Amino acid sequence: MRSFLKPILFYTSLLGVVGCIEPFVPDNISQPEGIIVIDGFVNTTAQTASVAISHANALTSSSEVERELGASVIIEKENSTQYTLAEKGNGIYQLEGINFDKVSRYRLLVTTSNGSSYFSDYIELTATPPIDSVTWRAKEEGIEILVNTHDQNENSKYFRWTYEETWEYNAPFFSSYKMVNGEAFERAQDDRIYNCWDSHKSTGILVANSIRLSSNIISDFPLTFVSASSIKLNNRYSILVQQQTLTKEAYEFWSQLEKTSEDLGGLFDSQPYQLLGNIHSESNADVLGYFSGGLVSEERIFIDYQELTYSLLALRPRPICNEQENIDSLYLADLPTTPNSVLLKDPIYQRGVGIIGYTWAESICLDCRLRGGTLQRPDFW
Amino acid sequence: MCAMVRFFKVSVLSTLLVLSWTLPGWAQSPSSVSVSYDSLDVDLIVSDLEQKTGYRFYYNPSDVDSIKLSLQAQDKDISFILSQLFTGTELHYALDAHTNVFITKGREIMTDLPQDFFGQGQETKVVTVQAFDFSDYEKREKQKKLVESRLYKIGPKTNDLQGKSTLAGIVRDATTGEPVVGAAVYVADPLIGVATDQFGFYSITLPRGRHELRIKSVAMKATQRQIMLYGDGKLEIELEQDVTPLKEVVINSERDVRVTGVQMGVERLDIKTMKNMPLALGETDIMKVVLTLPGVQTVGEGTVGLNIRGGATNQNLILFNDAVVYNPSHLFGFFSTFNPDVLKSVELYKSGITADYGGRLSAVLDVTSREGNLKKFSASGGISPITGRITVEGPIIKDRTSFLLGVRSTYSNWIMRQLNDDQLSKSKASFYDFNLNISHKVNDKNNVYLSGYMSQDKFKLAEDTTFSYTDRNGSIKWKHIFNNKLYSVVTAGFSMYGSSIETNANPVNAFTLDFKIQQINGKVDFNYYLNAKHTVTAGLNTVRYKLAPGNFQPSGSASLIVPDVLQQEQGQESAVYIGDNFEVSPKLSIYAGIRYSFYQSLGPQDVYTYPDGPKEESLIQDTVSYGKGKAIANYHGAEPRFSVRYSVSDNTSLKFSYNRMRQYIQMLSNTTAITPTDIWKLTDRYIRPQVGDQISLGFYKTMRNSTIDVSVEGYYKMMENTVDFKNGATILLNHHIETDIVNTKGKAYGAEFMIKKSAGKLNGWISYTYSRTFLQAKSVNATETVNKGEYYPSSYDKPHAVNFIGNYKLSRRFNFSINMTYSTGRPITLPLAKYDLGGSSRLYYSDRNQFRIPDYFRTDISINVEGNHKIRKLAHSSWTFAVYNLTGRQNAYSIFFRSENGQVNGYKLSIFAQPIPTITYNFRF
Repeated sequence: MRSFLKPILFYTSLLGVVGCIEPFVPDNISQPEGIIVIDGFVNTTAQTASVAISHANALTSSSEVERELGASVIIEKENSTQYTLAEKGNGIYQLEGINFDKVSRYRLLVTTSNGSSYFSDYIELTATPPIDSVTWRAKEEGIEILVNTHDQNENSKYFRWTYEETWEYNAPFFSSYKMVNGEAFERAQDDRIYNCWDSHKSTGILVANSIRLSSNIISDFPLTFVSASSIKLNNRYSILVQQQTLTKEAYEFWSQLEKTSEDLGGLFDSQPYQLLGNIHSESNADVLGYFSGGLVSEERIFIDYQELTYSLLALRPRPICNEQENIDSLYLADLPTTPNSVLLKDPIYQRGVGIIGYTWAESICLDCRLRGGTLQRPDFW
Repeated sequence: MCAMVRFFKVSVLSTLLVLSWTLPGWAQSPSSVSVSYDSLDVDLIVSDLEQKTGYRFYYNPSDVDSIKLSLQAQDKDISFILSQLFTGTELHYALDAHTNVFITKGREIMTDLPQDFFGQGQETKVVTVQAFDFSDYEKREKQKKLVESRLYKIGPKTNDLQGKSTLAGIVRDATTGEPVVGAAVYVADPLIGVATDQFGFYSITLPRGRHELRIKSVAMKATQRQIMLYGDGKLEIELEQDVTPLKEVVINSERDVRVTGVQMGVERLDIKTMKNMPLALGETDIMKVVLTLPGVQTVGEGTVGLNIRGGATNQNLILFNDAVVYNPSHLFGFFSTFNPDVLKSVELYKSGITADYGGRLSAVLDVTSREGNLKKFSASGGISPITGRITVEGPIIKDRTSFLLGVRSTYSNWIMRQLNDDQLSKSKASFYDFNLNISHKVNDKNNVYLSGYMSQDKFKLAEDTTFSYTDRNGSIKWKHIFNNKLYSVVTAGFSMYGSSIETNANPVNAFTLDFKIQQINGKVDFNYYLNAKHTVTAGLNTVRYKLAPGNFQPSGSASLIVPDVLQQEQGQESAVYIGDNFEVSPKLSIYAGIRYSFYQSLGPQDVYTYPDGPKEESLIQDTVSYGKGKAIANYHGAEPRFSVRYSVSDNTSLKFSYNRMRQYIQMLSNTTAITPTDIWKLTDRYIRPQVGDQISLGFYKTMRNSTIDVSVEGYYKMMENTVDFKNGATILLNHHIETDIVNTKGKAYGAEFMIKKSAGKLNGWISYTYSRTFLQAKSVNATETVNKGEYYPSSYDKPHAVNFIGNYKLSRRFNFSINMTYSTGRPITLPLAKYDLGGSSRLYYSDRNQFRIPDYFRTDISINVEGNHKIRKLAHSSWTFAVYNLTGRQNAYSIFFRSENGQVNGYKLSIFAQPIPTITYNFRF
């Protein structure tokens, strides 16, 4: 529905003006006290359960949300066993190695350190079909990542996806030497600062359903868009997509949460509203969050930047460093006074003499880590 | 009939002229005669003179109709007698060589051509040609003076001047022949007045005897007629257009009626008034003009819905020539669907709604178009940055049948293709609308009116989704005058509104979704001017609705979409009404009316049943099938309407009104603004009819010789069974919409203050409105409760509003207007806190509508420059320069919060965030 904004921009721009969106900070909004947020998920495939408990934060606050520590968290099989989750710190409680029974119903019981008790509705663990494919296609300014799946067993027609993107990128220049106490040394294989990896988990809610289709197919559901000018497509890009099916109730919760928190701003949006999940309080206070679970299927793809179309390659950003502007020379005589923090690129040779100095550049040109990633190559790479 | 006669006379005269030219010389020796006439009809004088002189007289009987002449003369020649007779009248005579006399009105004719007509220069004697120099204008002025001073005798002459008689007739525009609606026809002493109805028809009952009948109307020159009322009779009145209303810019024709009429809460705006107001997108838009009136609000600029006295947008009955308009907007609401060139007037009833209107809870917006020029062909149009429009009108049969054809369209698709923006050049946004009116006078007692309207909007965004909607309606009206006191109008009409969404982005999911509503209606209305004290209106009407709430179909062969067609809904709404306008005494008038409406929800339909308690999808018990035409649910109820006016003095009055309204059809929308995809829903087994009651009280005073009106109106309104939604309701393709709806109760109250200066170089109005409106959704079932069952402000609750409209006539050609608007921001639901869930920050919202967007303030100006004022030139044109939102204030349309990349950000959206200048060229010829 955000697309409804476009005609307005069109009409107003036609008249030489543009409708305007600007940041807005409301004043005098009093935050309700201590609303608890419980986010619980049972992963039947991994035989794990994870519950994060935190508190709602003031709207304008820039601090981290307050985590609930020292709570008692239990997952209960209907009329049967109770499993207590172990506290992993930072408000995270986990359970591992439990063979969840797919035909039973489970619920979540939480008692916080101050003695308040919360309980969820009983949930069914859903069966999830495998992902048929994760594909990508070139758009005008980047690539769109799409997911396809189907489920002939008709277990559920409601799907949710999360993903984690990982990308490998390079520093503009390869640093082959480094300074150690006034001397230059050639870098070892494991000392290189040229290849970095960075990753990012999905933040948006990605849900879709096939209830209006004659067969239970999800075709080309767009998960994310990667701009051709993004560093993500600098070298090699990978995305791991996780898929789970939802019950109708869970689907409605997540899609409404999406509508009320991500999809606002158009002219004709419906009004946002208070959305509560399937977790309740003994004392009838509002509880935020949701408890759900089921099988999780996943699929990973890799995209090499060379696979991009020419028109997209043309959109790749100019390197942030270049030979003419960013490279300087350092002669041997200067080395003793050069600190270790200066990164060297290559040696300078003079015919018959050998190395007479080194080229160097600002760190951003040589150390990939300065652009957010780490040197740690992921296991799957 | 009249046109034919004239045409014949003219052709006879010109034949004679040609003949007379071939025979030179004047008839110089008329025989002398003696005459003695005392207030005799021209016919009698003519036959006497023909007998005595042997001259033959030629004239148009209508030119001399009811002119009485007196003369005593002994042995005078014919020229002397005629010139004496016609002194002080507009009649001229001419004699030719064949003892023919031509009597003409307004201008002389020559029976001979000027002797040097062919430029041979032999003769210097030139017959005066001054008589040709009468311009139409001067002629009309002279004629006007004549009709104003002439005494019209109504009814057979009698000495019995006891009792009362009824005078009726039609007030017309002298230039175009079109009836003038809402003209005040009154006598000052005793103060008795009526307003012309939609046909220009008036009927006024007066004590027999001599009166000065005054006639006033918006943008027309006021006039009067001297009448001698002996008995019932007819008087047709023609009003001159006030070409450039310098002295008398009349914003409100109700200048006298406002205080003296029984009606309250009624605003009438004439298209001329509206055209003087600043415009947003280069075009006069009646919906935006109506918005400047007290008690009328909207949720945001660029939306078309009106919230009148705390009513929802779908609670307004919008009529265009008696046909219901379901979506009055083009392009998301930036334009209204009413082409300004075809409009005549708009009337807004906020309270005191008479019994002939029904079907909506809140207000009636009655838009009427012109009927077309009965006398000559003309065209008008305009070009603005976004739209172009042209209207053609003229007589099919002169003075009997006229047509009016208006077309308006955007050329935005063309512009869009020129834009160098990939997204925009793939987008499309267009609309057109088309109006056709034909009016035909069968005879003096019967008139037939035909009106048709069609509009379409289509927009396609780069996303491969096309939205379109179509509005079509038509009506045929037959007005029959039984006698001076009684006339009837029979109307048959239909309205159709449909919207459609089509998306082809992904062939697997490609679909079309259509919505459609149709109604066919018929009604008969009677208007009976019983006597001087009573005017009775009565009638009956019925509407058959057919509604296809959703038709979801795959688009293309690759689509896997399963068709989903919601059951059609049918309903029949009927009503009978009677009302009486009773003038108890000059100080006290009462209108009392009652409308009784019936509604049936009709099969074929399958209806779900639920156990007592909350209606949830999971609780559906059973399905009951109803056959075709079987009643699923019946509702009926009385709708009393009552108004009273008490005149404290000649220029001060108090009024009170009460009305109850019932509504059997509602729009389902959980968005704040009206959207193209909003659907309508008929009252059925679960959705009960909406019922609204309003009482209002008003105080009216005119000052400074009726140039300043002051009014205060207060109201209190209660509404039952209005529709609101559960949080997260599904509206489209919902097979059991009753599970997502909550029934609400509403209450609204407020006070409207207005000072209006309607005459003078500087005119305009300022109004302040205090209004509140609240809804309540209370139920024993928690899911059907909103905000814990407490009253909450509706989305259009804007307590304070101030409007200022000013016009200043710099000269006959320059007009400056300013419009200033202030209102409290509308209520919204804001987040109270944020929290982490699903990898991102989320929002915890307040109860519904607990906060407000910032206050709204805007100033617009416009300058209208008329072309020169030569009366007879080919085309009249005008330029309008306007600046919308002069101060460039970034008024909030909405405030919203969004999770973006895990963070919560708050935004304010303004639509017209900068001054918007526009230039419009209008023409008329």
